[in-house]
Amino acid sequence: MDIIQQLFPLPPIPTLQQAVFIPLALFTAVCALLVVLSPNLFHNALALVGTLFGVAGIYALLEAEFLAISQILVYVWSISTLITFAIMLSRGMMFGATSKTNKQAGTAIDGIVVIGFIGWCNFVSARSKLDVSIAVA
Amino acid sequence: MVPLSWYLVLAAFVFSCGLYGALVRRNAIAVLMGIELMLNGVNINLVAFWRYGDIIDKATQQVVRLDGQIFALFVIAVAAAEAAVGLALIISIYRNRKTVSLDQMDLLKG
Repeated sequence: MDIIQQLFPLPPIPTLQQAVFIPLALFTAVCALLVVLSPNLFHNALALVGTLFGVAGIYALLEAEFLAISQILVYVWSISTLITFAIMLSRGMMFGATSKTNKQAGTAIDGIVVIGFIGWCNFVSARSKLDVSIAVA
Repeated sequence: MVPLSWYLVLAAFVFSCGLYGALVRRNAIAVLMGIELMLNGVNINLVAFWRYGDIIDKATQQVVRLDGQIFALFVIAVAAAEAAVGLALIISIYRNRKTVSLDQMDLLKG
């Protein structure tokens, strides 16, 4: 029993904040993927509303309550209403033979790899307890 | 306490999704949605760095800096204005040209 626990140590028990953050971040990330990957424009708008709600939750978790309320008021109410109206007013044009995406996917993925690399560097430097102020100076 | 890097990874992911959508989609409304996603990723970064910076004055024990939140608020306001103007443009172009495809919006090409 001890050997098994030494070989496969249990992950550290998340604190309450972490236990709230992880499902919230997963929800936000999945909704953000749906916004750009789902072929149906209306599903995109619904997933965008989900992402904005998730970001509002992230603000609340960061103790920026005023921003969370502002996010829900401005984004989830106003902007989602605008986008839904624009979709319904220009409906029928994009459901056809033409493909939903253009030929710039390679360029886009290049840019995303760069952004992901920067995020990964952030993660690693924070993991290895590097002092950020030294890196900046 | 959630580590700062978790927020940064989430923000980078949301920003990347928005960048992909803004560069790749053909529909103008989908491109606008990608831009909204990018602005949200930036906002997560701003608020996370605000929260994890030294916002407490050691002497008076009061919150002294709110610049991250103010920046995020500015971004929200600008995004609202941008969405209103952009969607109005899209509707206007749709009335004139009967399309919302970015490939056919070449009125200014001469």
